Amino acid sequence: MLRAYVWLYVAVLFGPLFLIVLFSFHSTPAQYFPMQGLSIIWYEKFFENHVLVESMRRSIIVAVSSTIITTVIGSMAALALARLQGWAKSAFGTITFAPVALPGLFIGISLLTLFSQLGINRSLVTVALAHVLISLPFFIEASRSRLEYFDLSLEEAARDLGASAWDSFRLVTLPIIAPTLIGAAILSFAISFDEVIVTIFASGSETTLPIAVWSMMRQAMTPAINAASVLALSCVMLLIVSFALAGWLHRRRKLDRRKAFNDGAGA
Amino acid sequence: MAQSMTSRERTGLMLAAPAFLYMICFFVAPTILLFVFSFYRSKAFVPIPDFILDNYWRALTSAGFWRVVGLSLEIGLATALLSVLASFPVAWYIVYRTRNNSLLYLIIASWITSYLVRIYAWRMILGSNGFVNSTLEQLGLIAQPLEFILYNPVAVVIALVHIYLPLTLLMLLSALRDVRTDYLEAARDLGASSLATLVKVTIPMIHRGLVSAFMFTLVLASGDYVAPQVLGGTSSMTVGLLISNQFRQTGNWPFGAAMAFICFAVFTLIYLAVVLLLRALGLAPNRRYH
Amino acid sequence: MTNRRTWTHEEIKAAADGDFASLARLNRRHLLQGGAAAAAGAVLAPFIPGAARADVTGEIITLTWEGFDMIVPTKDWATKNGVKVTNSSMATQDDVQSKLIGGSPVRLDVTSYNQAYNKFYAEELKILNKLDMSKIPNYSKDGIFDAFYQKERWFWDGNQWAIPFCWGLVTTIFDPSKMPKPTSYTDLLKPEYKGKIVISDDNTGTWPTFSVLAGVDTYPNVSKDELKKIFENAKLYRDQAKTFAASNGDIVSLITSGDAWACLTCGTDSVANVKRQGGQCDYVIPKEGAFLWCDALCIPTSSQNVETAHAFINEAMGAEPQAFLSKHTICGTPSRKAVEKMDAETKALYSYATLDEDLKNTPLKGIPPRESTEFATYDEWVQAYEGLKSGI
Repeated sequence: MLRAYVWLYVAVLFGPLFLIVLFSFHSTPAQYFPMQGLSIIWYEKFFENHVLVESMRRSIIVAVSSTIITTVIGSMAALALARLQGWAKSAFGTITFAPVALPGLFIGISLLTLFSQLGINRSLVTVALAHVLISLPFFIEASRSRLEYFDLSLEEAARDLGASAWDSFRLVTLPIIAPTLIGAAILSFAISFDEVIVTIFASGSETTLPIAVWSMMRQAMTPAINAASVLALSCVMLLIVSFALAGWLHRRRKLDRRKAFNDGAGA
Repeated sequence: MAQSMTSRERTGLMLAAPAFLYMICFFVAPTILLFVFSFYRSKAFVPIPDFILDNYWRALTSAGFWRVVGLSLEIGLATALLSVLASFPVAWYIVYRTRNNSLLYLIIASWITSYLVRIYAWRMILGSNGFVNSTLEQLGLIAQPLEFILYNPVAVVIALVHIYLPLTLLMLLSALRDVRTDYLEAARDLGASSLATLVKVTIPMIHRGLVSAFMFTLVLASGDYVAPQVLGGTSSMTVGLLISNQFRQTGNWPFGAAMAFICFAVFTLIYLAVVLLLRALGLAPNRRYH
Repeated sequence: MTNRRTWTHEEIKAAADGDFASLARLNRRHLLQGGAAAAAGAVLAPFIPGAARADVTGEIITLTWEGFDMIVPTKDWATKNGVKVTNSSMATQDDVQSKLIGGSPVRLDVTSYNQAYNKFYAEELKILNKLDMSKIPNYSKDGIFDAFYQKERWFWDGNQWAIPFCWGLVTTIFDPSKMPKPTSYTDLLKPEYKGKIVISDDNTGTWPTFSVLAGVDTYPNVSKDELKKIFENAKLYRDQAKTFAASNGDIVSLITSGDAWACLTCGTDSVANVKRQGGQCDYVIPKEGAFLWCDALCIPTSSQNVETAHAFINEAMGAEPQAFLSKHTICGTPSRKAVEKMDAETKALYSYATLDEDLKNTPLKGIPPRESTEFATYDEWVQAYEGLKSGI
């Protein structure tokens, strides 16, 4: 029963996406039924459209850089939460979670006010900074419980055995928490890549893909926009699959090594 | 104080520093600035330093403002409730039935497709010649397309639930992972049914996470202004648009800031109400399990 | 907002030579913006000379509506002069002021405004540079239709603030396969069209139309009582409507998909967009009349390459680029010379032969005053309109 429900949930989630993919292959610009035929003309149109391609490139730059920053300070924050106690923990937890409790619009206008007061020029840098701000709480929330669950005594045991703090982190903690961090990083990427509302306020003359799409939609909806969306989805899917594959291979190799080691020890 | 601090806590503080500073610079400081602005006067896009309450007064006494807030909250509440109810079983499944993360990644990946494109996709589904209508017509169930399924707040809620499901799921997951399975096993060993375990043990233990998942979906959905514009029909005004217009169209930043803080206060009240409600239902005990 | 300071001859030379040590001496403030060490020179070099330029070359950053960037038709000129045009698209006119106001205006060398925003941009927000007309010879009395030459929306007190570069009609559009041609706006109120009408959420077209529909023809100057009357009357149309369309693209998608049959007022360029997407559409000028819109190119005060911006505008006003724009966006051209370069189909879009006469009595509408005791202010209009949209 539960299993069936889960698949229904996934189907509902992907149903509309399926339509987007379907109509990106439509041979006419119409986005309603019945369909006329299939073609890849909208993908050609996308790559011909300088503005879309350029803004997708910018979106990737922004998403990658904000994801890197988020991952670094977010993992540190999540590790911190596992170590802090009492009021420090709740204060830190609250402040890093607070941006989620406010609509993106609120973040957008307050950042705009800040940039304007300090005379900071709006550019892709400010967009990336804003994206870090909104994805950080999600990153921390997504990785926190796994990291708290992770038994700190393991790391301490390693240190007792003479490993340096960095080594015990690198050799003990990191391999265990890596899958969680990768999941959270993908989430941050997704948040940044698709952000509209905060970006409207934080961007200068260079726009990201969602903003370019938003401007295009003001004139006419074309399936080239669907195509852009499908391309973005495929990129990220590819990213996820390769991560999953790499993780699987890595685990397998480790298991093999351990098996070999155990066999050796047994002999 | 410093002496009683363990080395573990010291490392913790060091690790916390970057995120903390980031939040101070780009969240706390701008928020305070915005709050100060809300007491300013405004003239043609220029905020003029002052200390007046007129901005708050103007919003609080405007029937139009409250009507818009009401509609936004209705959309937000419905979206949040449906998202939490729909996502909870899935979160449960991911935490207790499968240890595999790929289902989770799959769900998060669905989020990569443009938010804007997804909103328009709902037109393809619910519109006069949309997926639902054309399917029903082909099946001979209806002669005329159903017009009432699009361009109203219900359509907005459907689209927003679809958009926020993955996020709600993520928050619930994080809450459920805090629950130690040994508690659940203990409850079962003591003869509790699964439903009883859920109501008596799981929900009380995750109530914080539950409330935050609910609240954050509520806040995001009530603040959204693209979906209501595209799918909402003639009552498409939401508080997000109202505030955004002050910043971009009429240029009265202080008034926009004041409205934003009023909304913030309303959200806080709702948060307290939800917590009290859970307590009244016995689902949120005032003690900690872990 | 401070005007961009002028650079001394030494500074220009220093920047051009990449001599950042002497530049630092000459200009400490700029150094603070640009970075600290002379070692950073190689990285900074592409950015700093942009500010120093006094001739036509280098990069210009433009913000225009999607499809109106003029990059393709000015490509030869750009290649010849070593100019790189970087464009982004606006989603609403409000994007322009949002980028340009405040303590950190975004650098824009060329952007455009709807006629209604003229004095608001130039005098209240002070975000526009006066144009140096000696650098825009393509905008000349004999080359431009009368309605677009030195008229109040772009020219006053002897100063030219912007150059009108495209225009069109704002009127009712409808799907002829679904309904007969409406002859009056009130036709749209017929019960059989309930839920099949869409209202554009663009106040520069919708507000004047609402005014006329309520029998008030003095827009944008209407009294507070008249404002009430206008929005009381507008409720009839709202209750008849399916939705307020957030954009022209939205209107196109609604009519193409059959969700809506007519739009109260909309730019006539949308007719072509509906047809391109496989729908049927036509426009009609109801007996109450229609309005004109006109966008004009301007140079914001945040420009860092004013010379090239002027040259770009001049190039964009040339006959071929104008004919190109007209063909691709289905809008009208203010340039007489462009008409000769058009193919028959584009030429037939508007009655250019009689244009001077036709447009004599078609005013380009402004926006309500920002401050006034006599008339309803812009703020009051926005409030009333927001009320309408929230169902009050």
